[in-house]
Amino acid sequence: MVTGMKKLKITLACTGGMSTSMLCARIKKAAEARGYTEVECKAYAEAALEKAAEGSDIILLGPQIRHLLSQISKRFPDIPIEVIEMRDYGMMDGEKIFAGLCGKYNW
Amino acid sequence: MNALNQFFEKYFMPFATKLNSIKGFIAIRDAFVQVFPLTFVGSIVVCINVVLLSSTGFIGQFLVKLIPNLDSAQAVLNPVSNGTINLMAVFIVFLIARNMALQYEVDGLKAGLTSLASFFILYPPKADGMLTDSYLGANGIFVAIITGLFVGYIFSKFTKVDKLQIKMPEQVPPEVAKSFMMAIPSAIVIIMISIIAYIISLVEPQGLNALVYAALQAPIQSLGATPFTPLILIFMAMILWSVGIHGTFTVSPIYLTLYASMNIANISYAAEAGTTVGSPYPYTWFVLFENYGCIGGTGNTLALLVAILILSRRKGWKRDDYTKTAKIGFIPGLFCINEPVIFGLPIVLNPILVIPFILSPIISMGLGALMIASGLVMPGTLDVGWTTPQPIKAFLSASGSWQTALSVILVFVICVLIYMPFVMLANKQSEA
Repeated sequence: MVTGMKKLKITLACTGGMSTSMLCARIKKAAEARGYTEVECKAYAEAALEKAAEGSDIILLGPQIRHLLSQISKRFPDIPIEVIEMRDYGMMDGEKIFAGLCGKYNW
Repeated sequence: MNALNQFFEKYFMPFATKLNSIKGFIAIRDAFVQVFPLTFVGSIVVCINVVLLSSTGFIGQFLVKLIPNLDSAQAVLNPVSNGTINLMAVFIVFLIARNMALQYEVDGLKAGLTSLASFFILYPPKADGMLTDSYLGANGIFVAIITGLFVGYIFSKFTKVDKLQIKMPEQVPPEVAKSFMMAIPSAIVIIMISIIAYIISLVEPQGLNALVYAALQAPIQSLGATPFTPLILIFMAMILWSVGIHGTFTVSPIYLTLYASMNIANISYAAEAGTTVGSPYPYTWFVLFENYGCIGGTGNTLALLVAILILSRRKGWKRDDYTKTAKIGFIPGLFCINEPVIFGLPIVLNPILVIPFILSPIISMGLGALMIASGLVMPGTLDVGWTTPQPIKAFLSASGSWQTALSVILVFVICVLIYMPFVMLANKQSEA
């Protein structure tokens, strides 16, 4: 686990940016519990991603737009993109999602 | 179930992906999202005028006792339509071209301006020095969409062709050279449009708008007049949702393009008539879906949550996972957000819940259409925001109609009853 000043910018996307916005608060909480002091986690409609996702450490897609993964990957070749697991998304399990990301990306 | 899962993934995913990647569709969909603040204020103003500032309004009937000339206050907000609803085609033609250009990674602003110019080049010529306002609003939307797509596409393609850039000698400051270079694609497109407009005028002196209006009026009227079209669309959307793809999003270019001008015509009618009774198009997707197909979110999932919460109090209730999800999903559900429920229960790929999920909006929208046809219920044509909780949304969207609000509550109860047996069936199954 990393301690001290740690910054993260996580961008979530779904169609309206509304359902993912509920998840944001929970992911942020999970990140802060793991020692990240500056966490920016915002949700956007996928159409609004262009400017918003710049500089993100990761982009998370709601499962209902998972078929847009390759399209969005092309738009952001330098940012890792993950599709949120259906059950985790349904349960709004920010903790589990963040833990999974930590594991995969060695945060 | 896995075989079914794989079947859907194999055939539906690529289909939905393709549908959602067509640049024109994306441009159209985004344009209507972008223009929502205008349709919203246009709708709200009608509500204010009819409910609050009218002596026959729900609240107005009481207010008028304090303020005798209440009705004259409507004049303050009436002009809002002139800048919003009645001008929709103008906004759309700009936005669609801009959205197209952005997808091709070229200058959206220039594309939009070129498209706006093209719109008026194609517009019916002046009569007595005046432009008709007939095609600035609802009646002009179809041409606006075609023009926006065409100009957006052509402009983007021309911008990318290097040969069209004029090369200036090196002594010319780069910014000067650039400004000329930038102007060429627009200039070419505009001249092309003018040539097209001229050719059309040989056939129809009043221009493209009149031509399209005459050609499409009949077929669009018949498609738009029948409630079957929204029922078919919701069926398609529900099938997609059942495999976890955002069904409403995917079919949105279809219903937006088809109904855009009818929706605007409806709001325009309500602004003038002060009521939604007698709306020209009472069976649009918007009217049937927003109030009857989307209570708690697509598929009337709030009814499912209520069914779960009711049944969970009975003896023998085993599915605590359902209760938990229902509680998490309830508040978002009040605001018509239901992805937590769709993915959390899950409804996706759930053979038991998928059946009422697909059936309930078809039945409820059909019932809504019947009630509107009977004249007992006023159609909800005003766009007050899709996340507005019911029955407030029903009340406002039908410009202050308690009958519509009541009809939505009635339909909601029926949906709860539709979901109940399936929830009980799911309860019998052990948690997978």
